[in-house]
Amino acid sequence: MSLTLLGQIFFNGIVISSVYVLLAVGFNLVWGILGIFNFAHGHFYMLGAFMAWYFISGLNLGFFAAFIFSGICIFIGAAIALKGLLDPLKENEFVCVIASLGLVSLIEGLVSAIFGGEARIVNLPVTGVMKLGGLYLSYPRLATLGISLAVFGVFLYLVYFTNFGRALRATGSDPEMAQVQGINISRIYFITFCMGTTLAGMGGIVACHMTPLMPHMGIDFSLKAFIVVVLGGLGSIPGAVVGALIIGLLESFIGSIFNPTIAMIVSFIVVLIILLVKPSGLLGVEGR
Amino acid sequence: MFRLRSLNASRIWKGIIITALWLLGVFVPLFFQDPFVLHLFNLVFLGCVWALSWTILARTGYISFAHNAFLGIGAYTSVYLVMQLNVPFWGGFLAAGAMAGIFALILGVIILRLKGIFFVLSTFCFAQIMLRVFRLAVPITGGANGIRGIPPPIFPLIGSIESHGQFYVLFYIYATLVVIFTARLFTSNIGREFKAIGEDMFVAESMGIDTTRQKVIAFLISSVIAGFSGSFHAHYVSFISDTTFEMIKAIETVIYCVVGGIGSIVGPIIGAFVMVPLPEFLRGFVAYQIALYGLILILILRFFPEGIWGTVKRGIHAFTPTTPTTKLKSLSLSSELADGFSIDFGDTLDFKKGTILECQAISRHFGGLAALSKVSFSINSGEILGIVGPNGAGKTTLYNVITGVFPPNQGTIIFKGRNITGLRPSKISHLGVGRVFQTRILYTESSVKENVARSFVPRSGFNGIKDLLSLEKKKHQWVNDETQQILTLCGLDPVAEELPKNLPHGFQRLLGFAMALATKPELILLDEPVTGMSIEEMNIIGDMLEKIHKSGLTIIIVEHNVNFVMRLCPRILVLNYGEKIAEGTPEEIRNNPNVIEAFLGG
Repeated sequence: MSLTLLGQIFFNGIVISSVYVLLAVGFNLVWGILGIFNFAHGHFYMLGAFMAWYFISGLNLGFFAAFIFSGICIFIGAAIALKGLLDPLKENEFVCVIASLGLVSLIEGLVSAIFGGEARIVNLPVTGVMKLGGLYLSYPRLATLGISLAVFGVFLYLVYFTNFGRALRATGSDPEMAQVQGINISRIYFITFCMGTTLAGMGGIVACHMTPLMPHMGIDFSLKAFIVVVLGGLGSIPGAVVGALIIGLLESFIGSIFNPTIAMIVSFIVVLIILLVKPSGLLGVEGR
Repeated sequence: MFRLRSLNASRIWKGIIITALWLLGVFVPLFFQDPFVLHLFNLVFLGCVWALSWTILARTGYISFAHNAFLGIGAYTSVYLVMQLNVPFWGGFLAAGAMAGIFALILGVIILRLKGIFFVLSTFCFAQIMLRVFRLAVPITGGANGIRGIPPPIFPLIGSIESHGQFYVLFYIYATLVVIFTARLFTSNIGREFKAIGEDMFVAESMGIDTTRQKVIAFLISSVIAGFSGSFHAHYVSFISDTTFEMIKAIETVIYCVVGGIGSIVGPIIGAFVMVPLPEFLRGFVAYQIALYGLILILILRFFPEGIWGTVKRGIHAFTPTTPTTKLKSLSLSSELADGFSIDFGDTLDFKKGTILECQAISRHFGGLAALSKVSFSINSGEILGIVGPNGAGKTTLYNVITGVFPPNQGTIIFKGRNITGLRPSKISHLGVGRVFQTRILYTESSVKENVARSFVPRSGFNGIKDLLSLEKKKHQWVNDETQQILTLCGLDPVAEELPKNLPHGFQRLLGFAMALATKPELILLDEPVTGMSIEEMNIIGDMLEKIHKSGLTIIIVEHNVNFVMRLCPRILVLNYGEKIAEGTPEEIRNNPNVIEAFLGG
């Protein structure tokens, strides 16, 4: 295998990883802070991709307008899902999981009813390839990488450098204590869920051109988010980044050399081993 | 007496209703000859079995998302044997269950030590791996193209089962058998242990239930039934591919159980009857079928979070006049309790002389914190030893190490001349170490009576298979009799049917006491038995302990209340910061400068 090919695979892996970071960080927040294992998380990714298709290919809006409109739509959708369904059922973790499965069915059903069952392909206004050494770096993929990193940067700023972020981290580490200190935790929960879910949606928007869009692809992305989070460690943002890099590169390498199914088997085996050996994940905190 | 009769009457009514419904089911094919309707019924029956088999594991508190994998393993095994190797159907069917069982055994031993969500996730990973293996193992599974033309089941003597009506009979019998089996299982001793594990694994293990073994058994039974179902499913629909066993299949069981109501047998059955035909009824809405399914599921969960059966049951409860229960708040420990307390351990104690327990230089640290460092002491049979020390002195850690909750980092523990260091809590409990916990560590969802009975179950020596065949009546009787005795002894009789959380504090402590006595201990470890009690209550407990001691039991008391310990114990051990700082008679302890400093100075 030539070095250029390896480089190409590596580049693709990094692009996929950057999308997984957005996907997984949101999943991590929702699971780690609200304690909701949301099976419909990947469906918001799918929803984001379909909204992007609608705004870009359907209405011929520019990418950035599409990005913002789709983001807003996902945020509202997340708010409805939380207030209408998940929040009232939060008492019982288990019923909540099943409720999120109801959401899976509802979102998938609505999307396939509205957009139809056939695969959709988004053609971005940006095209072309940048040649670097022997590598072919396509501009759409570079854009995906760039926007993902920018969104993630904004997210990091919010979490680590604002008062909201401080309240969020406080709630994450000890909700009761946070409440005693005057933090309105139900508001934090609300924003966290909507933000985390919107991050998944944005992942779907920026990656919408990479694969054909199908309504049933949502669950695959929930699975990937789950793999990344367990691997990196529940409640750990650096863990989500490391997990996303591992899974993205693993998928890119094994997927190119063998096939994507084997890549998935390998990632699940890795996660199973991690669960057995260190259930808190690579960078997770013990006892969470 | 009246109460007993009315109970029987309601049981008889229950029996009549169930039998009537069952008979009604027998005649369904007479009224509906439409193959499509019969097909729906067949799917419902498979759905019932599907959900019930999952419930068996869920009884132990373990939620599995790997049930679909076992369905697939069963289906492919059976189809491969029948179609490729020309094995008769019943052979393939049995092999399907066996193969699922083998997988469950291996997987169970590996992953059942994970707790809570981590177990759920690992089952989930296993299922995802298996699904992809099904897709790749083309020579056996046909991969994504699947296997077509699977022959219908052929039974010796009966012949082949082909029409929907014939399948109706087959699946009706199958579902009936599984329902009976599950009901039997849940009321058997083994089912009681499952429930105990589900409610509180820590208590179950401490009271002598081998939780690991029972969890693996539950997983095994649950998966074997799934394997059988896989075989039936494949030979019924005659086409399978990897998508037949998609994750949705695992989720369906959970959906049936949650919609119907978790924790009962009726719940999953109702869930299957509601949710299996639902997509068919929604077929008229074509494009919105999936979305409506999701919406209905959401609405049911949103408004009946306890499930349909849970809600119905609560409704029934609200309309039946409840018999006035004992006025719990006014209950208090009376001195008669201690006066009437007589217990004889003579015949159960097999170790009557010499050192019963010896701790040799045991150390235990958590991270950098040394909770115990080189603590050594021994206690003779029939002795009563007090251990005192300020908060954080390592008293509870000492108990945890002795009872095997965690092993010591260094040192050995000898009980009755046998090295018990590092044994599991259930094993140590069986050897004769009983423990009364400090806080409300009990089965919180079960009655006082059941709490006590569960300590006897692992000691009744029942045989699991005989028990399921209802051949262990004597052992059930033994458990009941012994339980009754202990309840009377400890004055818990009037509150036997109450939930522990409704009891006043003193009675909760008594219950912990009763549970420990029920484990037939030779050495009993008491963790702060009189915390939060009034002086009178303390005296009553003190008198009781004296009587227990006189009957020959060895006792160790850990207590904050130094006066209480000094009254009871001729020998006292003082711990501070995980080290033994003094040992001797109450008088010696009182005058020991180290002790005075630990309690007053510093």
